[in-house]
Amino acid sequence: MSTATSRHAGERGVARIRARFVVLMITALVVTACGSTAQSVAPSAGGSDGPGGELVVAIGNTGTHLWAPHQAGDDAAALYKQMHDSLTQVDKETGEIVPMLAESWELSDDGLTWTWRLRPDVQFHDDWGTLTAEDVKFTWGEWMREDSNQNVAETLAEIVGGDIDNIEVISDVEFQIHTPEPYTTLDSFLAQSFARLYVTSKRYHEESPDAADHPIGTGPWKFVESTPGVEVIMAANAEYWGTVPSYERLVLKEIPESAARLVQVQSGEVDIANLDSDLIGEAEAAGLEIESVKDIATVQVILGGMYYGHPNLDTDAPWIQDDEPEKGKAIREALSLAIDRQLIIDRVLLGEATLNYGPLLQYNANPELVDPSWELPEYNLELAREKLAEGGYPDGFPITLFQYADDVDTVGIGEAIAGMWEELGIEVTRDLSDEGILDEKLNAAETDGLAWVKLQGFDPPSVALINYLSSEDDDYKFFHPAIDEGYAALTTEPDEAARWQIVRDIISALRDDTIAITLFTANLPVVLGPDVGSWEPTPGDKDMNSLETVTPAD
Amino acid sequence: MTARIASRLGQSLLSLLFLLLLVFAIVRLTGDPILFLMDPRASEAQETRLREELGLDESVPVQFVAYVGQLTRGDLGISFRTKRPVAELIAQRVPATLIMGAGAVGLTLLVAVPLGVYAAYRRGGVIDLFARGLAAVGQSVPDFWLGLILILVFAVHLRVLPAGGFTSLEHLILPSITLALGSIAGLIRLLRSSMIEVLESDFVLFLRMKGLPERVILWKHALRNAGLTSLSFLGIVTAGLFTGSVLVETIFNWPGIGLLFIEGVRNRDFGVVQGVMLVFGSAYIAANLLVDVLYSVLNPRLR
Repeated sequence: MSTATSRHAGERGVARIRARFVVLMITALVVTACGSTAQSVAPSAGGSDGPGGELVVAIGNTGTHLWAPHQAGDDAAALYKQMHDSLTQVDKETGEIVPMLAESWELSDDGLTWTWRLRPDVQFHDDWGTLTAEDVKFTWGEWMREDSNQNVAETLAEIVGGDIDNIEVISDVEFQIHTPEPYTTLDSFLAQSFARLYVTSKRYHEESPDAADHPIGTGPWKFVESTPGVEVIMAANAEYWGTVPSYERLVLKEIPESAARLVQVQSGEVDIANLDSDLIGEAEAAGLEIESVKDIATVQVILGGMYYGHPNLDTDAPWIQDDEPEKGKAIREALSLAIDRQLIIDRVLLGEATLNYGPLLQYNANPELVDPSWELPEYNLELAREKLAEGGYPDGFPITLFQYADDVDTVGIGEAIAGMWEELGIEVTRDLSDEGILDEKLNAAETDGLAWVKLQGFDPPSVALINYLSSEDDDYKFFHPAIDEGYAALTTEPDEAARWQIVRDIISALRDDTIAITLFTANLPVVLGPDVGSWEPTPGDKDMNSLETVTPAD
Repeated sequence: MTARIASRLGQSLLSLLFLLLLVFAIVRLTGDPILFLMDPRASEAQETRLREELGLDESVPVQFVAYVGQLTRGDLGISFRTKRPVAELIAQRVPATLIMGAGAVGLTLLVAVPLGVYAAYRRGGVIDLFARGLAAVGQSVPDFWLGLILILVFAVHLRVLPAGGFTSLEHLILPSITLALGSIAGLIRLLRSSMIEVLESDFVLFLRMKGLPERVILWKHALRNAGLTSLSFLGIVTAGLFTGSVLVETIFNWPGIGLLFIEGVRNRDFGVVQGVMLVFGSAYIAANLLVDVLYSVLNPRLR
């Protein structure tokens, strides 16, 4: 073949290749466009379908998907509370303890016997019968088993003295709990989200082979199916004794990254998602509504080594100075005065917090926890410098601020505080790490030279204080005699008004000594998609809750 | 060839063992997993029970020997968090990763091969410029950035494609593009330069003189020779695509083994981290071995 002929053949070959290539690319683009257009007309699973449709909620973690009562741990709380009820709950408006499955309850004069009366005719899911006192006893027994993963297993066992038969069934709707030691705050304990006894059916667990994989309860949502690491699907319980859901289906999707959750709300695939506070601005700029779950935790700074009465007390720490305690107190006051709390609320948390009066236990929603004589912590840099000199460190001292991510932007808060302390003249080293690493130090009571931002969840005082008792065998945050003495009095005092006074006295002592630097009470921001009309979350609960109250937009 | 393959297999097993040792040691440097697995409110008795249940009360060398023993029985251990067999968890997630990997490999071959070949054949032309530009962009742009941009444009603003998850094949489009772009870029460059070299060789000139159609010269003869070097690259890339990009799966919330790995790291679930790293390592080693075998098949000089 001649060169000219081969050149023409080559050019025709090239033309064919080019034509095929172009056809291929166009085909690919057309197929993509058609597919996506068809899909956008009829969207697949995700995003509410309107009244009676599907509600999709994104959460960071759907837990272990271990459904047996003794296996489900704290991870499963966000899921369990959709499907189950507990004996008592916290009133959304007043913060008081109100009935849930229990209609009424009373404590004997000696504080050793609780008598409970259940709400009649409450039905378990999937026709597994009516709730009875036997079911409550069964659930309690499962939760307190030796191999239980429930965090409150030990506490539940202590309450009944390790003997489940201290729960005495009187009738189908009445039972008594006999406590070997007075436990005067049992009703509030059982109302807290981490301690709720999610009652399940004894008969179901005895008779059904599916019990370990398919949980049932009495709650507004019924379990349908779950895929570990992906989602949990539930259906509305039309026979629920309380608020029946407006949606037929609830899908709880696991999306670990906050930004990814926001994007899916923006794209319409998800209706509700919890959000890190640093994304609030972006969500609002996108025209999305932010709902605040109020008072999920008090936020405070804890200074290390403050183990009063314990061998590990860091006696030489600038904020302790055990040989000159007044100087140590002056340093703690200086550190507190140097913190502009309102600035942190405005700039770091974007308004999702409220100043409060005292550390750990004080929530503004409960007037019983506030003494009218208290004033809010002050921000005064000049006074802080004076206190620093008074404490014997006019030129400052080194401190390591341990930072880890938590439900609220504790890293951002810590960073702001570090800057404020540096302005005071403190030499701050930042240690950005993990909570587990801090837990190792706490378990060994080796926190010399450290400070960290600590969240204390919305727990009843008698529960919260357990974490700070010097008699505990691990997880040492700090000790103070007011806590040990107050806790002993609190759990044995039968009179409610007197109990509140004990709590105020504890808070007052912690304030006066500036033990745990008070910051504020934080909210949890949740972003709502445009198809969501309203939602009434329960304050103080950091998990997705009360999803049966979600209504679609008009 | 058999001896060569046997030798490579032996080397692969040693590499795998070394990888296992490395991962086993490194995860245990991150701290006590019990503190991450249990709520701070858990009792000491619960922590002790869990430690015994997971074998963490033994010394690290004892744990390693026990783990290797399990592996020889085909047991990848259990997840510290869920108590489920790691093999079961991986098996649940592998299909999603394979699907995304297959999508990315398909896209890579569909785009890179014709572009690489044609760019070399018509050097300096429009297609060549486009291909080289695409290669430069593809090798410069981080995949996580690309993924986020694609989500913003197509899912958030245009709302024509989903932002994440995997409930339909439509969900495959953006993750596949994100995952494939880097390998498309690399393959275009490699194939283009190999093809240029081959097209300028004497044997191609000879084939043209024989009067063979350009199409046959290009796709049957030149590509076969030029493709050998690209084959090694493709093998490594394919292994990487199939083990899933951890970043891409995280961005798109794709329920594959990459996301499982992230969950394992986040929860200090040593069982999952070790199992997934073993799967990743095995995939790379298997891919390399396969490439070596294919190389021997395609190149008679190596037989």
